Amino acid sequence: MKQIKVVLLAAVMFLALAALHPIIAADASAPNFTLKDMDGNKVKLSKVLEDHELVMIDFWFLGCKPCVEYMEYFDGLEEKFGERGFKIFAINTDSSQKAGKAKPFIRGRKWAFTVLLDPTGEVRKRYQVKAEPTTFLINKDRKIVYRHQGYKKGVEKEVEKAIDENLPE
Amino acid sequence: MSALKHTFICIFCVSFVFMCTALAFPQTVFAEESDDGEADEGWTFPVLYYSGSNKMQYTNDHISDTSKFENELAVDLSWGKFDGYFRISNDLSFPSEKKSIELEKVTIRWHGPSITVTGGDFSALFGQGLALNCFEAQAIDFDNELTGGKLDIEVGPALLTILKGDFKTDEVVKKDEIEAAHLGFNIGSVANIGGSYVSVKDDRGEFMGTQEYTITGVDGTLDFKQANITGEYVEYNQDDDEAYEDGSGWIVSAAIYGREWSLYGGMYDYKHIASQFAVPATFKEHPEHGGADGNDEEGYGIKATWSPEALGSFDFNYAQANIQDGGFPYTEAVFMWTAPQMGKDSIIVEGRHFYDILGKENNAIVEWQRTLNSDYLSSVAVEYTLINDIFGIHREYTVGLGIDYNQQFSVDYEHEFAAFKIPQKNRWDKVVLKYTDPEQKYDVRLLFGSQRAGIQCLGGICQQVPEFKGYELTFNLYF
Repeated sequence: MKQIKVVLLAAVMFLALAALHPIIAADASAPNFTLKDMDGNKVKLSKVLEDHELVMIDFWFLGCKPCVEYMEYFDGLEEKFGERGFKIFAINTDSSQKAGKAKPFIRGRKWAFTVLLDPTGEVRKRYQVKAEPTTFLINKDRKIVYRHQGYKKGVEKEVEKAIDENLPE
Repeated sequence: MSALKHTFICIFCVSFVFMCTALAFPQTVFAEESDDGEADEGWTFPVLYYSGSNKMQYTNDHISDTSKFENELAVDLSWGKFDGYFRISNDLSFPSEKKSIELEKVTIRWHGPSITVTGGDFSALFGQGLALNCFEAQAIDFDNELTGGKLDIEVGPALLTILKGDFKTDEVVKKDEIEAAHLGFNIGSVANIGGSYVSVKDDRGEFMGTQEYTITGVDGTLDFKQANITGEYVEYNQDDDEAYEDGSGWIVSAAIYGREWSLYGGMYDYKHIASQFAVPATFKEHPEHGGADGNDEEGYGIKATWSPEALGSFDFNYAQANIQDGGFPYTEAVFMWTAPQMGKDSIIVEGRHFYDILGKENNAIVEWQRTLNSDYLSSVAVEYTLINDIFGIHREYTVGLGIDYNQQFSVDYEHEFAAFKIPQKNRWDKVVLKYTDPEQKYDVRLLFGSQRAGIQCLGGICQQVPEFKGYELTFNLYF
């Protein structure tokens, strides 16, 4: 009985949203978030998008070998597309069990992109991330224009193509 | 009162308060903040933003003779200064188990200039996680998140978090209540100190009754340009019941780093600090090894990294732990070399040493991946493991072949072989076919074959994953 009520509740919520649609403008978009970087500074996605044309966020954790290989590759992309308004955030999803190791791990490499910390996985959940690495490209209108899960060598061409296509000339 | 009912009452109360506020002060509630933190002049009803996913999966497992259909709908919404999330699901990562569909998560938040109000289900982390660490790791079905209300207030350098909630492990068997607060101060840009208070009414079942305990603690960080230090100390005070002991725990870690290297080290000592709302940190890279007790052990660890451009990167990790009451000690040493970029090839060499209750285990692992064709993105990956444990020296290897076309179609085959039969089987083969919509709105995945049983770990939490043989068809829709 309780399960039926739950399903009904979900149906009602959806109907309510659908009914509201003509009144309240609705749009699919990337969830807004505020996370701290490794220096404790707060970074809010909507604020970043005011100054940038395209933002890439990539979810990763320590011990994820493809994640580290991928970060090794995309480190150069901010330099390549930065002048056209491109910004990268690598979001670390380690819980507090390992989060303390993330900072020296990153600092001991020469990576230039900003690392944000999501130790409770709240942002990961809101972006429906099921496995790392998962990458999103978000445009100025906060729309997700590209999504990719996993990393295999060779995927770089596709990522660069997607960045190039979604940045103004 | 069921947790579900509690959730809706919380959501209703939060919604009611803010609807009243919205009617009285619409600009305060709906207007977006400008760069200087002030609300923009003139306002209209904000746009409702949404995103979400719908996963549908059919699984047929021959080993447990289970077939099941699972569905998960997760939606994130934001509207002005409100945002929310809900998830309805009967999805379980274990192929042999089923559960009925339920409203798993509902969260609503309101963000003011210096205050955030959260109602429903939420995660929480105080300091390094010794006093409070509540989160969900869905991939391994771990969840100690709370249901209730949370208030975050930030005034200048101070951040105060107050929460009240409950946690239900089963509808009838167990329900815990928790009240907690954390106050943190930033001292300039280099230091942060904080204090935690957590009060728990732990329902230990019909026969053991309710056990009440409090956790108090202090935490701090010091952060310099090329070094940082973090630490936390907590005390666990049980109520008057003599069956339970008071406890305490501390952890401290420090790191220094240069342009191409870093060195990290830390120590901890936990005595009788068992709480299901805290997941104390350890320094293990592979928590699937060793029967240590994270709530009742002492240990230390170091991690060093060196990544010169011409030589790739080197990582070394050493961790040691002893159980306080005489359990078996645990030692781990892990070395990993990732070769520099070599055109079509990538190589990772790893050496691992473990010493735990099962004896000594030494692993040598080589992972080699080659991209065969740039148009079709074909790859070969080989992982070879040499194990020396209580069963003697034996080997295992995994071979993976993959073909991707234009990031739309992919076929992956994986063969795993273990020379030592566990208990009878020593070969596992699986194939994964995947199609991704060119606009990435949906994907379809078919897995068939067999998958080895083992311990799956995430964020220091481990679960036993049973062996699987059969097929699994998954459809993911993103919107």
